[in-house]
Amino acid sequence: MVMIIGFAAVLLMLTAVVVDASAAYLERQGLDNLADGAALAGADAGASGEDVYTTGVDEERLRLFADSARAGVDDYLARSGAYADHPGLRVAVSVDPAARSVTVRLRAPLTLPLHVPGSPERAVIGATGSAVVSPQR
Amino acid sequence: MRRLLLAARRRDEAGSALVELVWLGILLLVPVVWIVLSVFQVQRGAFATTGAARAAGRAYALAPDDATGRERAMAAARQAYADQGIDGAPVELTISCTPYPASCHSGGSVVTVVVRSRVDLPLLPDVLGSGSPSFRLDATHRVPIGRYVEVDAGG
Repeated sequence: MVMIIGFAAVLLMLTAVVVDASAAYLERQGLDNLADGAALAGADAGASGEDVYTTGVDEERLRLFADSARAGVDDYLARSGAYADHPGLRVAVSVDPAARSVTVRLRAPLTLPLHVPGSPERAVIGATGSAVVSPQR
Repeated sequence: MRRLLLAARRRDEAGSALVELVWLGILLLVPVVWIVLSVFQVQRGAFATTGAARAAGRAYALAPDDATGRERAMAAARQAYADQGIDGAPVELTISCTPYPASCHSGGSVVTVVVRSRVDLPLLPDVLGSGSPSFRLDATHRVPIGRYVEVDAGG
């Protein structure tokens, strides 16, 4: 009897762990998608096209302006309702002037749906996306 | 006398392990195993749905025009489901875009892809309810199309 109840308890606990793990994975997937989209939007907003008139278009990558790239990222996140979907979302945008790329790092806390004894109740999930704009001829 | 009583008590418990095994096994383990199977099924569906939204969004944004994009997005979504071993699930793909709803591949538009699907829970006997029970799933992905794309006159 003890063995069967113990076995059932172990199974239930394993199920809870699996549910928690997939909740964390799905949150990461969602943040990944958001980071990708935000980086694309930021790179697009940051490439003002000013180089066409001043320095000439680079063969590989367009120049990015940090302020407009940040504005683009913020605009994308606000419009896609990211702050409502992921409460406590923190955003870090970095623009690399040498590589001409935008990198968006997102972090959001996640309350795990099921509590397993001995496991943390909250987790912090992070995702990174980066993008460049390259001209095509 | 005491030894006799002990012997009698010991004899009384003989065979109860089998009864416990059968009843507890049926009452406890069968539902638990069903819960485990259902969780795995739903997990698989959820992974497939988020993967499908991402893949469909990328495929649509990279296609040359809207009609091709829709075809490729559907193919990409189906592939994401096939990757998780789900073939029969109904996949519903809704693609919309702002600010040019009629022509998504215009400069500056943002494409929103919503994938809706459901997974049927396994092995539920008909006695417990009519129809097959299912779990609804959906996922959304937004992809910006760059600014340096021609704006379609029709949009």
